[in-house]
Amino acid sequence: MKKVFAVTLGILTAIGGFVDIGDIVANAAVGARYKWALAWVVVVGVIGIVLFAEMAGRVAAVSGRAVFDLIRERLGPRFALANLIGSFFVNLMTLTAEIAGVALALELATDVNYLLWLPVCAFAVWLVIWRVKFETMEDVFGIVGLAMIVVAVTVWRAGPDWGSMFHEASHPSLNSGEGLPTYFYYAIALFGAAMTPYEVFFFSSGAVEEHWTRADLFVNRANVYIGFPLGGLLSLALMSAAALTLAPLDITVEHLGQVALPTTLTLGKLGLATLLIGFFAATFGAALETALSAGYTIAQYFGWQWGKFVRPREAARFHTVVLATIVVAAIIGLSSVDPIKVTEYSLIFSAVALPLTYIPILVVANDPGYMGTKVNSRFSNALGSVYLVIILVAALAAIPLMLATKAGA
Amino acid sequence: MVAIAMAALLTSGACVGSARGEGDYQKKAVATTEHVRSSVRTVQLAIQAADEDDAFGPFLSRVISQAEDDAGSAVNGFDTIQPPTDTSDQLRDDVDQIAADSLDLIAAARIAIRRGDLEGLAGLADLLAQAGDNLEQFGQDHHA
Repeated sequence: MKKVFAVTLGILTAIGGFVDIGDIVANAAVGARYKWALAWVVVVGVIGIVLFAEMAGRVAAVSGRAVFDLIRERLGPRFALANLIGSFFVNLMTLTAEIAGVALALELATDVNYLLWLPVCAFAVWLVIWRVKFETMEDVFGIVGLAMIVVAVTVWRAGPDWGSMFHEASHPSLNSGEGLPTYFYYAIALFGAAMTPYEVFFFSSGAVEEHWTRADLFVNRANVYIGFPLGGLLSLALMSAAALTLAPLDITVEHLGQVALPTTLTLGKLGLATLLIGFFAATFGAALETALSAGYTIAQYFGWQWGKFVRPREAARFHTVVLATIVVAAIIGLSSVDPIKVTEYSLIFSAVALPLTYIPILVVANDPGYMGTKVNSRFSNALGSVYLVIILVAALAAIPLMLATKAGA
Repeated sequence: MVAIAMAALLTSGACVGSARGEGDYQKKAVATTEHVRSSVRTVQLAIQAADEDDAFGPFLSRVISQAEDDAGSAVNGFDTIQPPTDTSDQLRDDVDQIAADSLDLIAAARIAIRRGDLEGLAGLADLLAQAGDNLEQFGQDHHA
């Protein structure tokens, strides 16, 4: 049982990172619009996040320090500050979207407007971070988030033509009237969703919270190799459910409720209830991750005491940053900004910030001063270099494509 | 750069649209009917779920009212665009008419689900299917 719970950090990170409000909406929207023509992006994203999360976890286990902590030391305060600003901005947008996502899940269950739920959700996120132990938090939300597997059951029960699905995924083609810029805009949004920076900051800081050492390198690999592919599988399931039910009717996904319709029609009330629990747990877990990541990155940059492994009194500045970030995110969420739009834009800006996050991880994971004999293998470096090229192209193309396509309109 | 792009996007929704010519206006008319059709089809699925007792009332109520909001804002957005020619005035009237018919049906669905009138809701299914087909036909007839 202990071994099962040992991978909950990876499951929470992956459920929160891969099946957060951004992924839920983006995958369903892409499935309804392009069916499986962008499934390859999820595969590319899974391989990328597995590669870099493994490095981040290994760095934490070997050095006993989180990635962001080392970035400042290894690359200097100026580069780290650019990284901090970029990732914090994306983090704040993502946190806004996640808190709104929790509220939207409750809105679907109760028919009470999400704006009334939003302050309650923000308070609940802060309360859990303040009161609940890190291990309990990751066990509960990691395990309950697995309710999202109901989407995979939906696809299986819908009885699709698997051969045709695989053919469409492996031979992507565009519908008439669809332009390549919009197609690549969505490709970048999906890639940004898969590789959101907070995932690696949370994962490596979580490893420090759990006091990983070299002896836990196996746990690191188990977390990464089980958690993230599971998240990727759920992303593909969301895409497929929308492709099977919404695409034939030309439905454009603009709300969380539309994402739930395929499961509702296939599995009935039990399926819907399970999915709403999954939405709640996944978005709440992601809100915890992003709020904590905000505190981790700022505290690690300034060298403050951080983490939930010490009493709040001993990490007062860390907890203040977390609280302030939640409050700001809640205020943004309570404004007239459409939470689904915030989600979509956060994915694109996430893509822009990717190089600032992943280049330093590759550098630190290759530094024998920190890693000793546990530096990257040649294979990891070769694959990492290929991914840096992809990340740079995605980062450079993200904003021009967003403006040119009017955000995929 | 990021902040400028963000500001541009978040404020773009408040701008009154414009059309560069008849062709552009026609594209926007078709896009509007596609949005409304998406809402109509969403409500059709919600009614199917209600008919088969597959979903809870609050969920269906929320799905239908969000579809109504989406369709309404698509039509309102189109109506703010200045028709470039006299011919475009006719197109504008046609879009308004066909969209208004659909919006009435979606509103009727919202009222029925909130009253728990499942029979009335089921009675709207065929009308919505017809409205969706009309919107699709409109799109095909006016596709540039």
